[in-house]
Amino acid sequence: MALRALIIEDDAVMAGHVADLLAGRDFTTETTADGADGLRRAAASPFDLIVTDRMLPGLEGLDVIDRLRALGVTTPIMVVSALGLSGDRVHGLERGADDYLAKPFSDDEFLARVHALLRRARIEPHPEVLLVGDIEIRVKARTVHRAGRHVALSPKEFELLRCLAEHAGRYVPRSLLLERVWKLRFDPQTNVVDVHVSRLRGKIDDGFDGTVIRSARGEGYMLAADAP
Amino acid sequence: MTAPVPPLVGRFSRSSTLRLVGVIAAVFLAAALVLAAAVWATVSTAMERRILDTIRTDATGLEDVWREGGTAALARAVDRRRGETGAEGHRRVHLVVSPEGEKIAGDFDAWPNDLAPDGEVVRFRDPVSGVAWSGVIRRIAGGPDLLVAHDRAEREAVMARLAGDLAIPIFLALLVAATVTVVVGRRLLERVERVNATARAVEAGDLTARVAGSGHDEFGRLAAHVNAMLDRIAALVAGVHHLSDQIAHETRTPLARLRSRLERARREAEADPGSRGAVPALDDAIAESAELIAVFAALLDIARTEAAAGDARGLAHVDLAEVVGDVVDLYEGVAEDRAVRLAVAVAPAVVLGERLLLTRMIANLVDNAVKFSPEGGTIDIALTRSGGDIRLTVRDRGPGLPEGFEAAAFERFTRAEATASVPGHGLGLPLVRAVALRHGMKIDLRPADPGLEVVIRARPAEI
Repeated sequence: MALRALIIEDDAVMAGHVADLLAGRDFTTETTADGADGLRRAAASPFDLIVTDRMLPGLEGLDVIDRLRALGVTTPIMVVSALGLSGDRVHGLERGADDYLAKPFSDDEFLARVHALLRRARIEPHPEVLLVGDIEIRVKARTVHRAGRHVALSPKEFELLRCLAEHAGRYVPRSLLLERVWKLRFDPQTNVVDVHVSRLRGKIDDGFDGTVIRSARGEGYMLAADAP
Repeated sequence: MTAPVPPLVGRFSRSSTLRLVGVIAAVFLAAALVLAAAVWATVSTAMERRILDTIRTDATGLEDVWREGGTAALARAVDRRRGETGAEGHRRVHLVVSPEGEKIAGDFDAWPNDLAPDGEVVRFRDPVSGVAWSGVIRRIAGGPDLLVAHDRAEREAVMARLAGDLAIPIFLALLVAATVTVVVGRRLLERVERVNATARAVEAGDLTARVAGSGHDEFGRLAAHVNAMLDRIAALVAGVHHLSDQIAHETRTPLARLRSRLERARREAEADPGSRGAVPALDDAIAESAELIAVFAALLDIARTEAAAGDARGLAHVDLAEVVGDVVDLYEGVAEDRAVRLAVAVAPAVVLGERLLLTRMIANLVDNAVKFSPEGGTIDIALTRSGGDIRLTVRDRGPGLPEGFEAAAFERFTRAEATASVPGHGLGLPLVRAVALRHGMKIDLRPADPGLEVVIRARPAEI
């Protein structure tokens, strides 16, 4: 069954772009440029995802979220806004948004975040074991085995692998890894993430040919789902 | 807003107001002392003159006795007077000595040792009884030498009473001077301190701080001027803030469009075998746009962080030791790859702040230190308490800053020439300063020979 997404965005180019991206993930999308209209539509029929801008004609994006949450609508909502300072994000999340992405964003980042949102909405609580190819991640025990052999990881390496495993088969941008693993909302100038990933590679690929963690266009990393 | 007034002691040397009041008090006191001294001198002279006049009259009377009855009559008169008091109740002593130096009559056996026999007016003290005397020596032509002395006790008692009487007004003057110093000094200090407290608050980033109190004197006008100046600054900052919000919205959106169009073009080029050749160029364009967006975002972050300075909303207790721990955790891999050692010495240090911004600030400092460290170098990261302040220091062993570059290092897009080979836009330190400013922290760059030491001083949060 196709997923339904509502896009509330007054910039036609951005709205079209988001719609394209979501269409590539088997969404059918509805688009409106007006906040009040968006609220009406979201309240009228169930959606699997709502993507909203903040500064909108009709009704401000965060007010739309307020009203929807007051109506008991629990659909995952992602705010996509040009107001991108950490204070803006915190404010947006406090007002009931599930995620907050600053414009401009990369396609990979947007899709990875959508994926994470849907995953959270669908499978809660977190699964106890994540299986990706021959890698077995026990979340509660915080242990990792590959092909039955225990792999000793530092706490951060474990979080890194877990985040990649949750998005297995998709590219996860560095910014998302920084946010999920290190709780950071900014890009350090030095490629600290690369170093951590290369250490993780060294441990997880030890004794195997090639690597299960691929890098993409200098943008992010992917845990190959089809790992041997 | 009432500014706390620091204790007067110890502030004296540092406060010109207190010094001024102190000088006035000292002048006041000196005037009282001079006046007292003048009174003392006048009374003392008058008393002395009166005693001497009495003695002279006495001596002249005895001289007349000699003239009328000769030496024998004088001796008798002196003997008769023994033990009597004079007309004004003074005790008196006499001595009549022949021109050859033989005692004829009197209360002594000889001229007192230290008494000059030829001076007219003498003062001496009886070595046995301790009584002080003032005396007159009369050498009667053709007759004996005569010494008449009166007890100085009365004069000394009067002077002692006078001293007591003068001490009271001097003590009062001292008391008034001290009170005036404290009261006036405190009042003046309070008013000056209010202006200072406001300036400190503004420096710490609170642009809403204003000088309390009014009045039409110099201090009132100073307060009004400072407040008007702050209103103007606040209006300008609000304007900049508004403008940066508008720029954020108006420019980010086209940048977002640019980026999304490039990404779409790349997807389409990749899907179409005929135009796959355009993919690397599109990748480059995407990377360039990402760079542009990153620079732009950093500029906006700096501007908005600076604008948020002094705004206490959204601040929470943050332990800098934990933040340093997070940052070290993030960077130790990179440091190890470059054979750079991170030497960390931290103690808990809780401040009021935005954790994310503080993390970013410390990350920028460590990022810089790692980038500029030579292979095998050590980076010291320390969190210490000095006085009431928290001191965060990050010290590397890199090339340091060119001389005189310290101030310019905080300007946007400024980079030292020697760093041309290291990637960056020169926005790291400006952001560090913006975050420091937002939290009312002070930042210093110091040459460490070799290397650079960055010191950030923060006030601990009140828990």
